[in-house]
Amino acid sequence: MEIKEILKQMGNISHISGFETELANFLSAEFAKQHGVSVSVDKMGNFIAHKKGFSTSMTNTENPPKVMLMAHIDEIGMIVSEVRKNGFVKFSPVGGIDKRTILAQEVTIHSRKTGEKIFGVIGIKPPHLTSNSDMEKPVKISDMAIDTGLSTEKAREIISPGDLITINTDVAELQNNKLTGRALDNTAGIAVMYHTLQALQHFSHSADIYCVASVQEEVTGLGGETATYTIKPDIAIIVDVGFGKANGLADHESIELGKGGAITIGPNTNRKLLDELKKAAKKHDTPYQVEVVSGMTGTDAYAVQVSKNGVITAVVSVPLKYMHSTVEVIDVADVENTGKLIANYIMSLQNLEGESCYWKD
Amino acid sequence: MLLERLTTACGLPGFEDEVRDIIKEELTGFVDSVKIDRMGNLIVVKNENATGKHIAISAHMDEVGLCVRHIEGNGEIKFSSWGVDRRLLPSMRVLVGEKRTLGVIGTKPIHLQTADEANSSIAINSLYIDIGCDKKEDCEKLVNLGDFVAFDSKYTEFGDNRIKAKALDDRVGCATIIEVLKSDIPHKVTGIFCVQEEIGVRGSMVAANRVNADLYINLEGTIGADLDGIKPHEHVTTQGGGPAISVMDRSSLYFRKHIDEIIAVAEKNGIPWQYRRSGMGGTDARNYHLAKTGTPVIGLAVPCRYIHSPVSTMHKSDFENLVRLVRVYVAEFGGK
Repeated sequence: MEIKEILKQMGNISHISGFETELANFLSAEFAKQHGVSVSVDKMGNFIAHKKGFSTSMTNTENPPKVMLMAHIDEIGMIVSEVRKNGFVKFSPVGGIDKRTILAQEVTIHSRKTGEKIFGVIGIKPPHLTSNSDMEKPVKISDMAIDTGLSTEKAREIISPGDLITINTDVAELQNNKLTGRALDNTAGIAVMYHTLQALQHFSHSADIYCVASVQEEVTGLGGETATYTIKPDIAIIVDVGFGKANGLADHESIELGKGGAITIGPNTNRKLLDELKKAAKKHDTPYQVEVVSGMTGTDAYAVQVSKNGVITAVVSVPLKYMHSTVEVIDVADVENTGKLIANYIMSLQNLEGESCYWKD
Repeated sequence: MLLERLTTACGLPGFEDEVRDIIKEELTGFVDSVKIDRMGNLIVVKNENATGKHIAISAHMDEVGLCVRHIEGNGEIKFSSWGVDRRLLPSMRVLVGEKRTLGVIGTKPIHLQTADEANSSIAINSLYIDIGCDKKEDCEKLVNLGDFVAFDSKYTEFGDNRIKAKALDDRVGCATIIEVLKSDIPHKVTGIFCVQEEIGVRGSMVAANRVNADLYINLEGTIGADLDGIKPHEHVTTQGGGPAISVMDRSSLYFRKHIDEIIAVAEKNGIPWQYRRSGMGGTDARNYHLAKTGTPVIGLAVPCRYIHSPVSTMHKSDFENLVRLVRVYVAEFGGK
């Protein structure tokens, strides 16, 4: 499938932290279509695609390097906290929802009781009840309500506290090969893994490849932690999104759309691995950029790096504008180039012997 | 469906052409004359030669939205606003200009906001539209200064007999006039579809000088504040409670005689009704009151929650009952 198309299809599936099953099922079907790829979903709900390496005379056939790509599968969203009178529904955020960005948005409430998808809008008070000082401040989430247009009885019959809520935005095309939508953080990362496997289809590689779509990154990070413990990779490349340069963001806190994936430099990543990634990019003329993160990266890499006996870890980010909003923007070329970059690195990888930073257990 | 067609069309103030074309097409064969005046108001007359009391029914064609003011070197589109609460602009999808180029209003990610930023609403002059062009020249191929910017919001039926759409204020008024003029009425009735209501009731100033009616009925989508956490005395109108009858607003005091007439007609025909319970706001009614040496106006409206937003909502029954009420009033009082 085309990258644009898989991004659009993932955008139509709700996958809020803790409730990622539907997207994991979709990925199981799509990844399994690629040659030599087997798929599974673990106890935590992590989706795992596995592709074995090919042995050649150059490679260590007994014990091939194990490379894990990981992109989180979950999206931020909301959850029903109370069903009030006249079909009004109060809610709490799941993950880092920006209260300034959700007024007057359309939502779907996913009823657990009936399986129905209930349409609603997040309302706003009319001007005659809004003072000048109200206008200066964003509305608090605790003061917002979803209007379902249902009667008190009907709403309480269908909707219950704990039902999930997604904001209704599909993935749509902007100019110049850009896409906008909800949850491109981190369907963009999943699309990178998908493209990496696509790019590797016609090439041999010695490494055993695992692609993990990890659950709960936006809230607990437990999915990435447990999947890594199970897989025991030698090398992990975490694929997430990075702050795309836009108005109000300084150059030092952002990366640019259209310039390829950003390789993170900092203590949360392995310098030797970064050099190898850069080398592979240069060899194949794949654009990339670098991003400096002096502490934790705010990705699954934080837990992955110190899993079991330690993992040689890198973070590669797709530049994304307006993160955690329903109008996130990415450049499709960045997704493709990031996928190529990782594929080229994997093809260059023969064995891990004799490299101290690549110490194999 | 008529309301779907009308709310899908874009008609920002000064750009009402699409809406006007739909209305003209809908009314072909149902009226005797169709005129477009110098402002762009559409004026249609049914039974032009009938004698007796001549009633005119008016609604406005324009909707609130944004307007392109400047394009930055990096392709960011700066805009001004026609009556939109700035707090609902971040993360909005919009359609720019006649080509309807999709754009988004993006803001600084929550992770990078200072505490001050997180707790302030963003001024309109700090917001911009991103259509995916990062060069001015690239952007200018699709967007012109002065282009309208409309909300990207689809007509959706939901809940208990509700509709969500942009521009229900006042396409629901336009739809009501169309439905009334399509019905069998023996009297002379004029339909007025005004431009530029939202920027200061401009179109009706001119229409009121041309249409020589004996009584005007002004139709609106009005505030419905029957929301969670709002006290009943501040609701203004209640969705599903029937058409709202105006007593007063900031620019008009409505004639009690005609308020009583329309209430009597509603009661007689079993049509639910409610008062519009607020003195706020102003409508084209002002200009009709001032027509000639003064002309009576009846103000009727459909309650719309979240008015002036991309997600305004209404109850279908309020629209159906408004159509019925206007029909029976015109049948009873027209021509006399």
